[in-house]
Amino acid sequence: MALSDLPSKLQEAADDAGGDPMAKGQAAFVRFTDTPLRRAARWAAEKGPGGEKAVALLDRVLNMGRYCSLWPMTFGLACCAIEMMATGASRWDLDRFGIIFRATPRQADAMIVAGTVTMKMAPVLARLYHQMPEPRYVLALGSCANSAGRFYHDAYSVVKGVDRIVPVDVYVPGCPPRPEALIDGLLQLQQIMRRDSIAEAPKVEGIKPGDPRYEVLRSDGE
Amino acid sequence: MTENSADGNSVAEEEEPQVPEVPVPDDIVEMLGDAIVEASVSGTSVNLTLKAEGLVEAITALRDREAGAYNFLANLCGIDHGEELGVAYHIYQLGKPEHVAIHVRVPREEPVVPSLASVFRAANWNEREAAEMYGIVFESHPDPRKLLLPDDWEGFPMRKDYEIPDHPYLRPDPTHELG
Repeated sequence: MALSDLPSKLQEAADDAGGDPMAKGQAAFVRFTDTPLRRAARWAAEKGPGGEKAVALLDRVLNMGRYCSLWPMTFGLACCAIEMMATGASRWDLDRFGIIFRATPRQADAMIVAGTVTMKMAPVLARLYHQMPEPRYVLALGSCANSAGRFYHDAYSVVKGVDRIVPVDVYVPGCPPRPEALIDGLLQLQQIMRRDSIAEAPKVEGIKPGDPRYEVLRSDGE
Repeated sequence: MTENSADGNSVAEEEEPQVPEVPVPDDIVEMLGDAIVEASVSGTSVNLTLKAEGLVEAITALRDREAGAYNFLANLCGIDHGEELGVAYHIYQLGKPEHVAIHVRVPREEPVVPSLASVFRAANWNEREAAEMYGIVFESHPDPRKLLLPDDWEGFPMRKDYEIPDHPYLRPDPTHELG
């Protein structure tokens, strides 16, 4: 089964189980699309140890280029953005990690969702995320972006966590987090980026055991 | 000790200072006439409950009042009284503490209030917010779009009987136990 058919299959499974996949509180995401380069890398890695070594070397070079000059998109939505700005300014100085804020999604590697995501902002956030080139990463900064924080109950306008809209790599807790916490989150993100491989096949994420879609996903993998 | 025994329960017996009842300024009563439902004065505030009909004329008269013009709309907000919806206006004399607190009540089934945007330009956005949050219709508003909510939003979130829509982004995670 092709990956492009999978979302509809998953939706069917969720419908059979009686409702929205979000009833389980989790959205399913396909992190990246399958490109010719990725297919070639997988083919080479399967060919033997020589191919594997070549892919590993290529990964190392590409990943170093990515994580050593991580350009997050500025996405300040609330008070967390003030901490993010402080982190970028001279006192905490993100430049020493090669991190420079880029004010466009087209040349950004990661998105720092700093603040409360409202229902009105949700489609904008999704659009900006999809405008970023792959591979792309998301760092949820602060309680609101993680899980709506203090707006979790009885709020009509706040999305209960940005992971319902886009896949999140690093969650930084705090209300708002201190700049040290954001720096730690970004260093964690760099470690995640280091482990990436272009030979990795796209897969669906965000579905846990117990979800009606879990069995569909498992049968697809085999 | 001696003072206490001499005075007895002097503290408990002390009466609250009587606030003299201040009449509403005559010229305001004269200007507004039948539009007034209820009127009182507390401190620097003239509290008026007005009818929705003829509200624009009444507030225009207050704005152009000769003995101290109420010319600064500080606040405009909707209120949900249950059976009725209301709108509250606080209009100051610019740079002074004197102000009027105006209250208008309209039935919940047909909450129509005339728009003040032609009298105070500050009313424009405040009325848009009250309209989307409480469902109050501001008649002849120059720009009756939504202000803060998304354009396709249904329902009026600040009404007491509002229920949060069942949306994937808004649903609490059922795997979370409530504390």
